[in-house]
Amino acid sequence: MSTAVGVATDSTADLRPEVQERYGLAMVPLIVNWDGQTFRDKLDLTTRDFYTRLRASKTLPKTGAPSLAAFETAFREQLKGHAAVVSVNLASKLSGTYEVARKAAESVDPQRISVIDSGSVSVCLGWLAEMAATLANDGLEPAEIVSRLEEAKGRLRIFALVETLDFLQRGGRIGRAAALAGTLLSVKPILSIRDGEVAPVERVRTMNGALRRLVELVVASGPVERLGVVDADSARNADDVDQQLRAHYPDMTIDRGELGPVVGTHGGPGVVGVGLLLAR
Amino acid sequence: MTTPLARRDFDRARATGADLRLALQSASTWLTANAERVNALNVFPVPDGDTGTNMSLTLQVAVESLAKLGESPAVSQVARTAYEAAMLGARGNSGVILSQLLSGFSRALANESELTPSALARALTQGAEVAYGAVSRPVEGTILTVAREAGSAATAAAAAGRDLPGLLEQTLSAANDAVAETPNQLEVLRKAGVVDSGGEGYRVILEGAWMWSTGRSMEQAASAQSQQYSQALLHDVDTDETAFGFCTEFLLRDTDVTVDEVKSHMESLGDSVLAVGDPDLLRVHVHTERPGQALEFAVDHGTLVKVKVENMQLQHEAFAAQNAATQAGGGDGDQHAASSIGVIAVAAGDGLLKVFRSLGARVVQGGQTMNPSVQEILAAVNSSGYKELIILPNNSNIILTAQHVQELTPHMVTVVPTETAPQGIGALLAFNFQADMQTNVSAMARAAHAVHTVEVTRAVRDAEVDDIKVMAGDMLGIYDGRVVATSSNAAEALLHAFAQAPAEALEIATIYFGADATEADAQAVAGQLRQAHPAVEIQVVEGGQPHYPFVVSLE
Repeated sequence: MSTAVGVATDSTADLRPEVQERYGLAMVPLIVNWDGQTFRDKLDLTTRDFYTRLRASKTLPKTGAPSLAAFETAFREQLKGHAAVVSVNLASKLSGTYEVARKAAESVDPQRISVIDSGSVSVCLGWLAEMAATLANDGLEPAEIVSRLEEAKGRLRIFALVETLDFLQRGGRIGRAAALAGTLLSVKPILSIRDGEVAPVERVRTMNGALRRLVELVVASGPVERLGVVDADSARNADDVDQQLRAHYPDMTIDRGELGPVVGTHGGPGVVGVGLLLAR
Repeated sequence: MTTPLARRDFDRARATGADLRLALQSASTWLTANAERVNALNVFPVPDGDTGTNMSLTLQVAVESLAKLGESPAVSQVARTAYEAAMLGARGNSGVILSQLLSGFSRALANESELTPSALARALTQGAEVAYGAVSRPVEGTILTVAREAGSAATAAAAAGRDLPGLLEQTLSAANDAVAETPNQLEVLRKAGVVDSGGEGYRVILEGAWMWSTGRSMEQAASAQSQQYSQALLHDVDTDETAFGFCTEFLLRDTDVTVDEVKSHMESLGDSVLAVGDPDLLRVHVHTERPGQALEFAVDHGTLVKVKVENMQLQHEAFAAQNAATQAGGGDGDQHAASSIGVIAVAAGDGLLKVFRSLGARVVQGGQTMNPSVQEILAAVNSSGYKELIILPNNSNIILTAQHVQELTPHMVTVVPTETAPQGIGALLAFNFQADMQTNVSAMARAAHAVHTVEVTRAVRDAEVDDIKVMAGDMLGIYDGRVVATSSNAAEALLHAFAQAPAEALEIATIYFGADATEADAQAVAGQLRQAHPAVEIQVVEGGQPHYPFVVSLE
C-alpha cells in the first residue's frame, strides 16, 4: 500500500520495529568513527557490540552526521513511491544532521521534501516519525503533517539519568547541565532535553534514589499522551523505572528502547531516560 | 581620671544622649569581660554557638557605631543608631534577640532628647515586648523572661520616683532574681546545672549600665577585655562608618589627572576614600550614594579596568536589578547561573566549604563557635547577582540571623531552616534547576528533614543532658541534636550514635571528618560500618570542620 507522503528520519530515532516495517520509513544512519574504522549507526555496529566495546575501550568513538549523499539517496528512493517526503530529524542544537537533510532536500527537490527539526532524540523523535507516517496514511497533505508535527514537538520532554557527565562533556553536548558537574560528592545527575537543549534538573546521591526521582519528575510533569523508557546498557535500571511508571499509568503502553551507538557515545553507558509526549 | 569609662557628672533624673552612650559602652565592656563566663552556661556542653560571644560582639558593634555621633547627640539618636548597628551586627539567636531588645528600646525613645527614669522604664519594657514578638514560640526561663521582669521592676521604680541610678539598681536586682529563677522554669537548665545564658548576658548588660551610673570603676572590666574578640571584630569594621550607600571600587589605567585630584573628587562624592597607586594604575575606593558619578569621572579621565559596586543600602529601593547586573559573582556559586535562584549556605571547615561550593552554593563562612552576623549574610545576599535566594543556615543558632536578613534586603529571600551541614547538603541536593522558588523551598525542606545527622564532639564541661551524664573531655555521640552516647573515643561515640538510625531505611551514609580527625580515622570507622551494615553505602569526605571530629549524614 502506498501513500502520497513518504517519511524519513535518522538513526537516532528509536522506533518500535513494527512501525518501521509497516510504514516503510527511511532511516538514514549517522556515523560512528572509532579507532580508524567507520560504522553506520545501528547497521554496521549493533547496540550490544557497541556497549561491550565501549566499556572495554581506552579510546572514545566520535560521531558524525550522515553524508549529504546518504540523505539524497534516501529522499530519491522515497520519491519513487510517494509524491512528497516529510523528513523529521535529530535536534539541530545537538547535531548537524538536520542541516544535512535540509541541504539534501534543496538539491533533490525542495518543493516535494519538507525537513523538520524535532528538537529531540530517541523515542521522542521516533514518535514524531511515527506520527508523520500515521497522518500520511490517513491521507493528510504534507503541509498539514508538518504543522501537526510542529505542534507536537513542543510537548516533548526527556528526563535522563546519567551515570557520569564525562561523556556529555567530552562530546561537547553538556550545555547548561555543566552546572551539575564537579561535585565533590558522588551523585547521579538528572538532566532534561527540551527544545533541543540539554539542561540540568537535579542531583541524587544513590542510584535507587535517582530512579525513584526520575519517575517522580515524570509524574510531576502533568498528564501524558505517550511514555517511553530507554537505556544505554542498563536494562535492569530501566526495567525498574518501567515498572514504577506502570504503577502510575496502568492503562498506557509504555515504549521501551535501547539507545544506539551514536546517542550512547554522548550519554555514556548507564543512561536511563524517559521520553514524554505531554497531553494537549 | 583613671579610666576613660568613668562616669562623668550627670543629672540623676535627666541623662543626656552622651550619658546613654557612656552607659552602653560600660555595658558592652562589662559584657565582653564576662563573655567567657556566659559562654560556659550553654546547656549543651559542646563548643557551639556561644551566647556570651554572640551577645558581646553584637553589643560591641552597636557601641562602636555611636562613635560617629557628635559630642551631644539626642537620646533618641543614640538609641536608634545602636539598634541599627546591632541589627546588622547580630550573631546567633541571642544576638538577634538583643538587637530586638534594642529595637523596642529605641522605638520607645524615638522622641526623647533626654532620658528620664520613666522614659527608661518605658524603653526597657518595650524592648522586652518587641523581643517577645520576634520569637515565634517564646519560652519562659530565658532572656525574654529576664527582660520582662527587668521592665516591670523599672516601671515600678519610676512610679516610685526613683532616680536613674536607683531605677537601675532596682532593675538589676529584679534581673538577678529572674536569672536565678530560670533553672526552675526550664528543666534542661536545671539538669545541666546552669542558669540561662542569654538571661545572664542581659543581666550583665544591665549591671554594666548600673555600674556606670554609680561611678564604680570599670578598670577591672576594661583590663579583662579579652583579646580574642579583636579578630572577630575585624569583620564588622565597615559597619559603623558605612551603613548606607554603595561601596564603589575600581581600577583606573592611564589617568590624565593626579592621584590627589582623583582623591579630592571622590571626597566630594562620598567618604572612606582611598586612592592608591600612580596615574598608570590607580586603585580607588569610595563609599558614596552616587556610584554612577564616581564611575563617570573615572571614564572621563582614564581607562576603567575593574569595577565593583556593592550595595550597602538598607532599605528596599529600586536598584536590585542594577546591583545584580554589576556584581561579578565572585569565585563560587556561578553554577546556578543555570537557574534563576541562588543558594547561600553557611559552612565551617575547608572541606565542607568545598562541598557546598561544588554543589553550586555561595558560602558564608561560620557555624560552630563563630556564628556569622546578619551583615555577613546580608552582604552575600546583596552581592549574589540573584533576585531570588535560598539561605541554608546549617546551624540552629544561625536560623534566626538568616531570617532577619529577609527583612533587610530587596532580594526575595527564603530560609530553609537546616540545623546541620548534612541537612544543608541534603537540601542543596534536592535543588531543582528548573523548578520555581516555592517548589524548591518545599522540596529542600522535605529533603533536609529526611536527612539524619550524627555528630561527634568533645564535652567542654560536666553536665547532664538528655538523661545522660557527661564528663568534661568525653566524646559525645549526638543523633539529630540529642546526646545519645558518651565514650572515651570518637569512633566509638560515632558507632553508638549511628545505632540510633533506622538502618533498614538507609541507603547512604557520608562521613565528613573534621580538622581534629584524619582520613585514616574516618576510613577505619567506615570499614566497621560497612561490616555492620552491608546494604548501606558508606562514603568518606573531608569536612575540615572545627571541634567535631566526625559529622555523618544518613540518607
